[in-house]
Amino acid sequence: MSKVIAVHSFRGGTGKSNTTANVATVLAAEGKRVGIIDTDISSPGIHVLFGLQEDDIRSSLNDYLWGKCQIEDAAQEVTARLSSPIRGNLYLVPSSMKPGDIARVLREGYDVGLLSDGYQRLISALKLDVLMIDTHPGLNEETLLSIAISDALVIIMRPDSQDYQGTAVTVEVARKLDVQRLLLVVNKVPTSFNLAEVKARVEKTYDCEVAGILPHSDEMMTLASSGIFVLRYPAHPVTAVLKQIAARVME
Amino acid sequence: MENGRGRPVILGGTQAYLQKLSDHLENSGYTPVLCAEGPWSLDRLKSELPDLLLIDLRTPDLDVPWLLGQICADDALRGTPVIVLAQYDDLAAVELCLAVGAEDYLLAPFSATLLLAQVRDYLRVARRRQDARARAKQDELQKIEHDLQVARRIQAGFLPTELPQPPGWEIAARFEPAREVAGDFYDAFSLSQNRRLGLVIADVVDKGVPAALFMALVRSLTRAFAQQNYSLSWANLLEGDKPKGGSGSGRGQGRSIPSTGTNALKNAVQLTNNYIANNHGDMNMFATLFFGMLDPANGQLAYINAGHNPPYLLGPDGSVKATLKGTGPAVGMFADAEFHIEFAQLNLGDTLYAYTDGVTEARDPSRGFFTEKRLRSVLGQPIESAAGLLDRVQDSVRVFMAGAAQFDDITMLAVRYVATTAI
Repeated sequence: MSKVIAVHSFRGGTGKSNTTANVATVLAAEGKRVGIIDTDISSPGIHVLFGLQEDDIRSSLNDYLWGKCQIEDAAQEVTARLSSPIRGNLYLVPSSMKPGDIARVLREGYDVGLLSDGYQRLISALKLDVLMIDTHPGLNEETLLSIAISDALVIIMRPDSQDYQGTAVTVEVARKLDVQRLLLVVNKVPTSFNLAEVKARVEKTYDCEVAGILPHSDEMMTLASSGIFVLRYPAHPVTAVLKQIAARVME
Repeated sequence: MENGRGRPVILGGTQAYLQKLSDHLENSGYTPVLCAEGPWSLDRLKSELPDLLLIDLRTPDLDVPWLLGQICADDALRGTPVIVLAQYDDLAAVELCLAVGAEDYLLAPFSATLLLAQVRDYLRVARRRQDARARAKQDELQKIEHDLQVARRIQAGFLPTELPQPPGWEIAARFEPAREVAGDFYDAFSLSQNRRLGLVIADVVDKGVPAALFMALVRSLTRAFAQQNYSLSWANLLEGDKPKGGSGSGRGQGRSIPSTGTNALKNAVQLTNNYIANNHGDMNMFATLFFGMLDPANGQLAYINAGHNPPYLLGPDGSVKATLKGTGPAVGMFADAEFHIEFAQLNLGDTLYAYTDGVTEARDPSRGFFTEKRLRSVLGQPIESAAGLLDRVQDSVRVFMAGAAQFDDITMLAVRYVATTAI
């Protein structure tokens, strides 16, 4: 049975899209058919990790929402764009980078019901094993909906006081929404920190499973979203944690 | 004032000169009335319908200036010319009468020639005034009539000029107001970029102009709110209206998870209800309303029935497959009322038939109702087309009424699934 995994962070800049792209790649590399949908319509970005330029995006999630195409027509296979070949398949439904398109969504809004129907349709049309939803930071209706219909919710946070508070909000909402599986990922942890201690503190604070602690990595910073980390640095300790996170969300 | 002569009325006592005046008038072709005795009252004057009044100042038990004041204040008598008949000694009283509304006077001894000249002149005046009055009344009626026609046209503008006809579907509607304007309406429009079809039928309590004004409000609000994309489920999600998890696929199947069009449905009914209840609660006006959100690709129907006569889901043979019962109270009754979304499935050949109670409550000349039973028996035959079904119901209601007056607006909507379409 296919799984829907929502990836969320209360605040921006936590590495949400990067983590989503890497976990998705790990799962695809295991031979799965994986879809990613960028629902961060007002500030899209995950397509960059797969080397897509604005001109490479033929149809986007926006086109689906405006009735110009079916959701599967907006999906683009990105497997061949990866820096090394993998066994499975990776699809991306990008959001439009055109300023006019972004403005239109902000101006008109859209029927969020189209999202839940779109997820279902995408899964069956592309025969996906996993659908990963890259959400908009903060809480809005689309995010609530994505959280509510997902099998697992991954909340990304940094060891930062603002993130600590914000994550508490998301965790509480997720519990109210009866999310079946809730996982925390702490990202960009300074290497001077004791990782085990951070994990224990976060688990205790939220009474919630921590799927992985990702230490700050100069290689990740240097890559600067221009590629998929797990493929570039297969032997890196951060890759090991990302693989562990992928395994945990699929449990 | 017939035959151009007119009807002077003479008020006075039993003096011989009054009878003489009356005879003069009669001999000259008028039809005078001599009222020689009291009691004097406005009602008596009105029953005489004078074109011209001749009042003797010395009429026993009559305060003439008082009576003139009464005449001036009365809608029916105002404008009736009054000539005062007086003795030379009465000049002061005559002046008073002229000041409070008398047109003219005659002094004794009364000259037949002067009398006839004055009567002739003042009957002309009376006729001109009566004509002007009739014209004004006519103008006013025409204005009301004109306003009603304009209202009717404006109301017609609130109904869809053309029903959407998505491929594979037939949609038909009938609308027969009991008066110039109605409290019923129907609507059909596409939503979510043509992925859904909104179908509405509604009945505002009351009839005529008040109901029509309210109909315009309800119809405009439901349409406008249906096009709002923001959702009310936001708060519900945070306040314990939990989606049904676990069973089935475990995700996205719970009904509180919005699917395409359900937000529009909920917004349209809930926001309209709250607006009316909060802003027009003191009017005690409300509307029963059925709002269906149809997926033309597969016949799935999500709906809210706010206290409306349950529409029927009919099979190809006219059999009732489902009655889409109420899922909430009438719109505008209670602020913050709950409206639940229910679902139904139209299969190929099925028809959704919705109506207002003007159909079942149509009356025959002996005041018997058409009834739901009769409606179901008319519906229960093979359905050839959506329009054909409505014609059939309309015809049998008409035959039943047999020329009796229509008491309530009759509105119907039929939606038939005739062919699947490749998407």
